[in-house]
Amino acid sequence: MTTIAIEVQNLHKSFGGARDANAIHAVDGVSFEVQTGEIFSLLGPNGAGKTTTISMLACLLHPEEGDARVMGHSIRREPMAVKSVLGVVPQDIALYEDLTALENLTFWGKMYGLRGAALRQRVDEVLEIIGLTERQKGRVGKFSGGMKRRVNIGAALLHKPQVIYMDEPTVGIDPQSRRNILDSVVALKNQGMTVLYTTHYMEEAQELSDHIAIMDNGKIIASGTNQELVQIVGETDRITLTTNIESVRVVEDWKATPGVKKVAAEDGALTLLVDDSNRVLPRLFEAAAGAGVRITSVDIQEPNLETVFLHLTGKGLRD
Amino acid sequence: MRLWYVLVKSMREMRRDWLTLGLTLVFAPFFVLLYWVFTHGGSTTYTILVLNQDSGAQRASGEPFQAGEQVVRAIGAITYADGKPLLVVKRVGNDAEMTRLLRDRAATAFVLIPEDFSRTILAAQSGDHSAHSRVTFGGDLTNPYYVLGAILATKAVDSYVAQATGLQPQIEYVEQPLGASAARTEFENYVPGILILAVILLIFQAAITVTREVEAGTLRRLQVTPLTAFDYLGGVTVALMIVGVAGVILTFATSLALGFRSQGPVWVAILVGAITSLSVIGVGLITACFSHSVSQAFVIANFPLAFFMFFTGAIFPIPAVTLFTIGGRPLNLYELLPPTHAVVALNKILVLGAGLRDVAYELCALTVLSVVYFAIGVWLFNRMHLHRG
Repeated sequence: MTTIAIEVQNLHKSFGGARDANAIHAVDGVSFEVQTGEIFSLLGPNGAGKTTTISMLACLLHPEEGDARVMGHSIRREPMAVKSVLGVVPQDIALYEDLTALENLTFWGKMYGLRGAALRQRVDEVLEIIGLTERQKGRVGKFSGGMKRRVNIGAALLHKPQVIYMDEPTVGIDPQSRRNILDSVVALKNQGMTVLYTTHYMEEAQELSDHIAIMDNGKIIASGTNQELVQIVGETDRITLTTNIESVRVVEDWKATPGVKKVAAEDGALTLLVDDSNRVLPRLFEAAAGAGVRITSVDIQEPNLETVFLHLTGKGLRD
Repeated sequence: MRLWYVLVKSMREMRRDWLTLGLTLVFAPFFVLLYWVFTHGGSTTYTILVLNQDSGAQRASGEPFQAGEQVVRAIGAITYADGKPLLVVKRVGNDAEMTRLLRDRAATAFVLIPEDFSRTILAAQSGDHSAHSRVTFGGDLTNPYYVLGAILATKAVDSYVAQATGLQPQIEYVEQPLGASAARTEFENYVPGILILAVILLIFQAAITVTREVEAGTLRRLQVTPLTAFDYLGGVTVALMIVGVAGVILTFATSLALGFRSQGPVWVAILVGAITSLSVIGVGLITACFSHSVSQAFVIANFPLAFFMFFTGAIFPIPAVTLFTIGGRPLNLYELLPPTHAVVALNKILVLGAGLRDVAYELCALTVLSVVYFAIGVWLFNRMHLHRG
């Protein structure tokens, strides 16, 4: 039987004053539930409101409306109780660079109330988990970006939290360190922890998550399992095209082509959602030839979360 | 207990950032050393230019009489209580040379002895009081040392004339120094102000220590632990106070090694330094409230630093601007700045030999102001950096 670890109800947060007409509504009526022991991802582009949501759930920001319960504790009324069951891995590395990895972990352990032999044992365990036992006496300031990220995660694990928030923990690191971190997220889940994970990498959300909520402009626009979300777009194919020149005319022609649902520019290429790529693709080539544009590459993909996001918002995740 | 862990962590961080810590601790002792060098190992000498135009005279016995020369020697014979020279006589040949040296501030004052000086003294010795001679003093009146040099030289000439003519003035001036102030060297006079400098410089360390937490994101991370604002700010403050008191002790030790003598109990002086450091840390926290990076904190901290240095009397004396009077005691604008009371208290203790009771008013004022500044700093820091947005 599963229980609810995080229950979020209608959270609102704006910056620049709630009643100000020019206020930015960073989080606009967000609600979702996270089951105990699962990995739940908030997927969305930068500025979607993921970090603001996590900050409210970590009792760092005060919601203007709504409430959330973390392991049964209200973020509004019981912030200290929420903090005691929570581990937070911030988006930016938040460590003392003049201290060693061991000193950092020991300090953060003490902040969570660990003492004596229990603290030493837990620090050793965490060093093992993050794979830095051999480098424990090195100063964090001299570590690589990936190693810092691992200590950053380790600092949130010391008190064996029931719930852990990880805010884009793989941003700006090498593939090997990313792999290491993704593996450790799965390991945490296997130890029984509930993980709330934010990312703008579709592949990470797809690989890790039991459930995913897609966020854009402060709202959750879709949620479910990976399979459930992909079904939203049905049999739609995703075609990515690059051309020799940029042409507004060919884009307009493609939009008007039968079978084309959406056209969006992304990373210097054009992404199209189409009903049946076999039937639509020849028409796209015809339209391009008519506009004097040469198609230089074509990539056809099965529907995925990127397709879902494009389908729902008309833009790419990395726009 | 968490307060203790924050304290230990802060001390460890400060120790590893040895450059900032080193500068904070070494700056004031280095100032002491510089002042000791500038004051020639203790006391400054003031150069008096003498243009001796005295043509001399001849006594009835035929013996030549050079009163001008004797005055010059009398000026040069003025010393500090410890026997070290106070005035240095530099002879000049003409007005032009004298003016040039005064303009270059190579001397503090001049004495011009007239051509008829010896004859006038001789006449007075023989009972003829109708003769009159004019000794001229002068110099750059904007030179802060002019008054001191001119008064001392005048005193030397007056004493010589009284002794040479036997004419004692009807009114005698007797100098009565306060406490042990007569025996103090100029170097020793500067030490109380420099001790306060050791504490004032803590403003950088205070502002940087907490701003670094903001910049690194660790403060935000601390907020998701059960750590309270009291534990955090308490730990950081105690760490900074330890550095402040260490700075005072180091400065004091340097001063003692270079010949400084404390007239009052040293522990009271250190207590003054500790309380003052609390107010400086409070201002450091206020500075950190408006800073998002260490470099920004460093720039902003210069403003309160300038106020503390130049408007408290720590470095220069400043005129009083009375705000209001309480029980007959005027309260001046600069008294709202804690280092003002610290300077007065340290001067009383170290120079005048005052004890704890003698500086009770200053300690009370200092404590009240320190608590007020610290409370404002904590309140602002809590509101700007620790409060849930």
